[in-house]
Amino acid sequence: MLASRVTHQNCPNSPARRSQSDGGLIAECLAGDEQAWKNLVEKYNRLIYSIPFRYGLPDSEAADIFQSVCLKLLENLPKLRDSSKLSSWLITTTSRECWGVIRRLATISRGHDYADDEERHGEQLDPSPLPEETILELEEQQTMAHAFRLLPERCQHLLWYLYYDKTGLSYAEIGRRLGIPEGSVGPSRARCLGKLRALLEEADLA
Amino acid sequence: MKRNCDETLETLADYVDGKLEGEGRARLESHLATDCQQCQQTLGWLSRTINVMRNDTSLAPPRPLMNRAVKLLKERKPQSKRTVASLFFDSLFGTGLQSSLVGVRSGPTMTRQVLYGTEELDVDLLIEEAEAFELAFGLPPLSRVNLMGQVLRRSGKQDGSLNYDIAIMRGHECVFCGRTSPLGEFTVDNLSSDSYELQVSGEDGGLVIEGLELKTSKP
Repeated sequence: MLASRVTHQNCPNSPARRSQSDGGLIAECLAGDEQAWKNLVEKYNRLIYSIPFRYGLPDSEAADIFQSVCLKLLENLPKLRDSSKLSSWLITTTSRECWGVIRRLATISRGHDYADDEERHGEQLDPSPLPEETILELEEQQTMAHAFRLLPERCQHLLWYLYYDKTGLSYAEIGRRLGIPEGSVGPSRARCLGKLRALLEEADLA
Repeated sequence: MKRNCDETLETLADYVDGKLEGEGRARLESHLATDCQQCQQTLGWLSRTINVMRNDTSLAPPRPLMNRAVKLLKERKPQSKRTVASLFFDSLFGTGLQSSLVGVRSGPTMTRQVLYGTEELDVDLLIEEAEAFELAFGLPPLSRVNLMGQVLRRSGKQDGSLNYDIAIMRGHECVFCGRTSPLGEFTVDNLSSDSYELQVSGEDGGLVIEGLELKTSKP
């Protein structure tokens, strides 16, 4: 019997492995770790759920597509174990689901009198792949959002109010909401951005 | 920022956020014009990062939808129930097939062959005596074994590679985790002679060998 050396990796039972890397999470999911599956879905939920809207699909279709892609992700975990680009696989898979829905809606629109706005909408949707720049943008947002979620909660709140929140709160208002002096907002922001950079560098994504 | 550079991340973030005005802004711009590579890099990173956060239009799915997705793994778990393998052959005890290998001694080492299987898979194991570890205080040497194995699909399903995950458990402790070669082979050296559970899992199924005694001689 020829025997090749195998390495001590992907050990699902090792308590030290609570990795946030895709490979680590997938290995844990395959071992039946429900928390790892939750972490994996939470890591990519915004990416998956946002793509149907990029195709102009309504909420109800986005929800069905999200559920379907999560199921496909679960079914394909063994194949994806060594994938270095899970986000690309998710974008492609979600896009295919979107194309299927667009085709279905277009067929309904052509075959019937317009029953409602949603069906009428089907004829106007564009089933062509998302532009490369949109895919890059989605991946950048996904990477950033993931690193953001690994920040201490206080940093998440601060950076949320400063950058993600579109209401444009003043430093004074942000300080009031976070219970810190207005003068601390700037230095705290710098510390949090430093932590964000360290997280991205750790994942080789800076 | 280089170590002798006085500019701080805070100043650069203020600059990107449009909060740096007057003399401070002029001083920083003058510094950036001196080609400070570290500051340029940091400024570039800050601009890109803040831009991504500001322009993020992604949406989180509603909580009930997330909850349904999170439950998917739990709902599928029964499908991946344990398939306990049967012992087909053990050269040490002459179990199963007629053995010609009972207590085979090849040179100075004792070797034992064991074959387990299910309807889908076979696992062929070769257990070989390893060099015993000497213990202090006159205690008897700790017996150890090397394990070589191969996972094989039953007939009619030999297409594709045979990559399987292997986990060797002693109680609740995982003493070895790894993956087979594309031919389904694996090797684990220097395991203490003890009772283990060997778990095999792959895309097309898996099995569990319970109570695997990694010993080369009868007690």
